[in-house]
Amino acid sequence: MLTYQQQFEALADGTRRAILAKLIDGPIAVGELASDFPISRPAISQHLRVLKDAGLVSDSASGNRRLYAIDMTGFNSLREYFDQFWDQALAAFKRKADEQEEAR
Amino acid sequence: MTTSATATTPINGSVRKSIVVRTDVDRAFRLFTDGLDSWWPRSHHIGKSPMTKALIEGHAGGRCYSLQEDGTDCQWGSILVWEPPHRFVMAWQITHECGSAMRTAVDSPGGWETLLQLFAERVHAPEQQGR
Repeated sequence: MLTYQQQFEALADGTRRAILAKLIDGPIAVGELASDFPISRPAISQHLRVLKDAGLVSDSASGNRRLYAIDMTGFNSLREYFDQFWDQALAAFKRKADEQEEAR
Repeated sequence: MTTSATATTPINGSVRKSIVVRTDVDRAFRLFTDGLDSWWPRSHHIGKSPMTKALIEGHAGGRCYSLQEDGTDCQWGSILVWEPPHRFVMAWQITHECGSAMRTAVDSPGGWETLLQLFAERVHAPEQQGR
């Protein structure tokens, strides 16, 4: 089971967010990705591993290459988290506002 | 409205919410910002230890942050626009870099009811470089 904490931690790194931004354009192989970043290919692989473990990136074989892509399921669950969070937060805000009015 | 760069992506990252509260616009704005700590759900914090207080500094460039039980503080975002009592915009940040932006509009549709609208954009879409 993925935790949101794990997703937030994965997103807390600038290089990983830049990798995700790149993946928005479509699936890409590590080699191609590495040429866009000033860090080594093993470092890119390590970042991809963290993103994959967090459910934000998926990989698939294409011939003898492995292509990395945005994992929509993971992103949608993260979106759902924020959606529910704000429902709760605004309900709490409304309760407090009502309470404040009653106390007036 | 969502800005251009994400419109071409398959990700629809915005979360939009609105709520009507029975209080006037000044009080609603003040409760949302100065009073943040009194209503912010405690379950949600990004620091390593539980949060003790949530605060917003009411000016452009101000911080939105929490104090943690271990004595540290943890910044969530920065205020980009501060226009009390109708609007403020903040950029959430996961680290020191900006993540996504949230616009909050507070309006009076009539009488003493206040409509609060929240537009959290690109909350889950990765940030674009150089934007």
